[in-house]
Amino acid sequence: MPFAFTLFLRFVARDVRRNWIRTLLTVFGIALGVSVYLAISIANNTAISQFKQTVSQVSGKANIELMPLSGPALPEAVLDALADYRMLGVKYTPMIDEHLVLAAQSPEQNSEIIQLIGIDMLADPDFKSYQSDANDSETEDSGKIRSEDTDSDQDSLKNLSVFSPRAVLVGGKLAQRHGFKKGDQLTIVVNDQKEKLLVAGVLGTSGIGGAYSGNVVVADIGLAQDILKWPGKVTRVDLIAPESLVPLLQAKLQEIVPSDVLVATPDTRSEQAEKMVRSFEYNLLALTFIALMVGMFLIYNTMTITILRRRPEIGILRAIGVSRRTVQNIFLWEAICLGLMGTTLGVVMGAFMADGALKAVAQTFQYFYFKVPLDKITVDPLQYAAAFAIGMGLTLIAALPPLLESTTVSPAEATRRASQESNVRRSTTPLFVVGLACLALCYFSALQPAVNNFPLFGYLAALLAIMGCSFLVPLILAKSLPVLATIFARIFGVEGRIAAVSLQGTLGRTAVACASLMIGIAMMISLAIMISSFRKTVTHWIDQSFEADLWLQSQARASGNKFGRLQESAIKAAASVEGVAAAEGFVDRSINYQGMSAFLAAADFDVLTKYGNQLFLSGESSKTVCARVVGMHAIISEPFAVRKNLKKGDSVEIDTPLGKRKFFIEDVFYDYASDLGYIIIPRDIYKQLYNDSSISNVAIYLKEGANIEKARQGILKNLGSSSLVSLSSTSELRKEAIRIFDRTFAITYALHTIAVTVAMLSIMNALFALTIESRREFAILRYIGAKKTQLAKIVYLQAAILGACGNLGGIGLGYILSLLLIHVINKQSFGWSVQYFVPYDFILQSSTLVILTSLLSGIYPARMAARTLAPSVVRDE
Amino acid sequence: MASSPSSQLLQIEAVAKTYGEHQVKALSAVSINIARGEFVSLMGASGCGKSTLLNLIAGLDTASSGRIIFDGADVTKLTDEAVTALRAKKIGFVFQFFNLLSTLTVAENVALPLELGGTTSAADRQKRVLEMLAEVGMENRLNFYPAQLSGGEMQRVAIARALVHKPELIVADEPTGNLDSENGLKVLELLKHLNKSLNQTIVMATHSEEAGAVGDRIIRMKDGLVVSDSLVQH
Repeated sequence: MPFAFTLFLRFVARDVRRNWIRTLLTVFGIALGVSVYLAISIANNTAISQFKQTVSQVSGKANIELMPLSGPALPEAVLDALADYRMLGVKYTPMIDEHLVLAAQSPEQNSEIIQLIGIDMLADPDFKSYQSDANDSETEDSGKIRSEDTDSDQDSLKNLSVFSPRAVLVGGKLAQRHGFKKGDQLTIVVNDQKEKLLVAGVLGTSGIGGAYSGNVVVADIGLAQDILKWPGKVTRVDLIAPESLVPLLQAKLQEIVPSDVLVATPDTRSEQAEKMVRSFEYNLLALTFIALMVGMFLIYNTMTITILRRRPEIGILRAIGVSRRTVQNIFLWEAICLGLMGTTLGVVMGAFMADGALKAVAQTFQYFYFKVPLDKITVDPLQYAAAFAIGMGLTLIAALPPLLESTTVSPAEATRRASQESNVRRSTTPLFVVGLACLALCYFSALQPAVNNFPLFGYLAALLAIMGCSFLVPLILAKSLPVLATIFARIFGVEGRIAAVSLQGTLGRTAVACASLMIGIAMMISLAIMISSFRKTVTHWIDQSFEADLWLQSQARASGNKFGRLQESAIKAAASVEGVAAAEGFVDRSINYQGMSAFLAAADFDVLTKYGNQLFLSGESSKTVCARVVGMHAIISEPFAVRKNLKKGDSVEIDTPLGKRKFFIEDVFYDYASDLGYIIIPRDIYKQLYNDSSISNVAIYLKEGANIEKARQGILKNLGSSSLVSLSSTSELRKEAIRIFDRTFAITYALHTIAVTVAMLSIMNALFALTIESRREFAILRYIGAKKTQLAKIVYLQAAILGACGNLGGIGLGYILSLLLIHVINKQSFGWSVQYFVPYDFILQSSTLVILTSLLSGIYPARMAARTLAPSVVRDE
Repeated sequence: MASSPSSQLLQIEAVAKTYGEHQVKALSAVSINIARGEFVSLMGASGCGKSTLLNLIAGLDTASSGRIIFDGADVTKLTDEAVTALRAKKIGFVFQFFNLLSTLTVAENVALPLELGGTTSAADRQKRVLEMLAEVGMENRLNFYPAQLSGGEMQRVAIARALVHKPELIVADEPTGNLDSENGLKVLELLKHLNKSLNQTIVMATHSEEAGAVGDRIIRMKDGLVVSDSLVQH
């Protein structure tokens, strides 16, 4: 066995085993950091890969797609332009791919969003796979579906096929969940109407039946158009072209199709989806890095303490001829072992936590970005490998300074106990200067613009702030601990002074423990400030902007289908009710603006001028701005303006079915409903351009003193009982908005709790080390008459000092990080202006909690201190 | 050596101490009486049981058998709290390696036993600390840290700390073991002076004949047994 390995086993491994509690704390700290990183990575990756998988399953073998730029659908007349390409071997098929609300099938169930896929059943087998495993249903070339459950004796069922009236195929998962089988009826909600469909068969789990995780109904394209009330319109046209022709054909087709049609590949949609969720994903990942960074401090702390504690022995080893390299290697192996244990445990924990993380972020993805079912994680070995590499890499980086320290001291110096601490004391001022420099760089970095809509410099500024504040800690502690010793001596007696001066005596590790707690708490504080500010801003925005008394929308839209519509007549139906002052129609559609998803909306600006109260960046009143929005004028939302670098007075050119149209931007309005951004134009212009008079919702303004309930009843009566609508008051709308808001930030709360947990592990670790290191002092105190309770009191006071210092630093750093999060990172990522608000009550509560937790973390070390065997410790000395 | 019971501070009766699973004997039926004001030197080679005996006297370790009566109280029967209180009030320690707290100043180190006891006022404490430091000749080093002192100075501070709460007994374990001969002699002279001027009872463990001879009485130990007990002719 090589000497270095033997030495590692005897000198390091035994010590690691002996100090198993500290080893466990460190391993668990790394594990937590790695696990949250992995869990969030898997959740993010699942969202994108599920989207890609669905794109691939729905697109099948298509390698070119025609997609609408000006709305959810394009006219199927575009197919005429493709006929000439048949002779080149190009096949094409139209398709519909749109959300649909499945009504509650029983009183115990809720309505849910499913996907309607409309395809040309005769042409489509060339494009898509319907086959599944032997146990699933299968389809014949004719499109007839056989189900194993089919009762062959029933003639009507026998003849039921996808070409039968109102008949659809149902995805396996959907059928399984609701018990649908061939011949069953299913009820859907389209806009404000309920409709019945017939189950012609159940699809298997592969091919198109597996798209959207099987939550699909597949219909012939004619039926799909009828269901959606989209006569002559399709969502896409899929083409299969010989591979060699694809680039050429793509370019050629782009010339002949209308300007609001994009010729792309199926990958384009995935790329757009990735772009759309990038900010959200990076924000989550950045939060996980905080937990990893706190974990790094834990490793640094552990390794520093180990090497510090063993310096005399290192000195002996060096004196008897062990080389620097061997010393370095044996401690490197210790770091590797800790890293391996922590990272492996972290990867295992992360794999288990991924499901929870996915559940936490799924609704946010689905609500704000795309409605792909996210119920099962996608396992990608690369993610595990990346988490492992990051865990090991950060462990080794964190261990590097103490490893270098272990070899740069001479044998004589190593045997002197105080030399390391004097090194730390000597470096407090240079570190302070470096810290100030980092903070200065942080300031300049925060002033830089986004790079391709990505707040690169914002993240850099956050990193610099963390580094800067961490470097300030040693000098601040060195100056403040003596003052604290005097104060504590007055309040807590001699134990208070000993607690403070002992911390000062071990400044190196005190500073590291404080810094790690500071970072954990800073993350908690900054996120709390950000969330509170955001919440307050959104509430204020709703209060100010949502002036209407009632909001009318279709049941389909209320159930989550953003494109559920109402007839324009609903505006009149609402406006004619007694007590209603005015009703304003609003319609929105998703568009593709310069390769980016956005919303185009239209509003009745004449009503808004009178009754609306939109908040504008210019500070101009809503009345003044809205009065100017006529003709080819528009207002845009702040996220859109930020992403596209537009401002009041600029113009925005959008693709419409009638060609490109330029709108003059009258102003930019505050909006927190979506980070994708809105362009709002006058509804009369919209109707002309899009030939669409339907509306998404109606804002109803009541006359002063009008009875809201009476008005509600009147509106519903006017709409007729067959119309399924949702009519909510502003307070109900606000509640719903806050519910969605809290759900969106649920994962953030979970992440900062984990970061603080890692930080608390760091405090415990430091207290352990401090208690072990202070054994000699405790023994002396026992000799001169200190009670066990007095020794425990010293440890508890040290825990309280560490907790309080970490907390104070955390509040300071948290304040800086919150400014960066609100004014730089989120502003550049999502484009939202957020009013700064500090939740003092939360800070007070969390500070109390941190100090209490710090005290709790002192329980075991305090017991250790109280159990100090004075004679043996002094004899060892 | 016989003393009248009323003047006796410490009675050690057939005290034995064994360690570990293998019952290694550190002390075997040791009996010693020490009178108030005596300066006793415990002598013997390393491992003879001197330090074990001192720890048992101070209640820092428990005897396997026998009794230790300190100022009328049986130390072996006292609770940990009572022994701690006894140590805090009636015993002062001087160690070979001084064992000053490096993060406290000279004055703070000396004040420590009074502060831990918590009974004296700050003013009385300060006065007493100054008195004791003056007694050991360290009154001009009040705000020095241990690292700024020589070995001899550190030991003088340690002695001041051991005396500050006016203990009945000073237990000194090899107090000159880590000092050069000149400083060692100064510390011994100081102990002798305190013994004479304050009538301070001192039990000092040492393996140095020269140091041992400073005491009034020398008890020699070997393999955990008392092998001789004699007065010193000065």
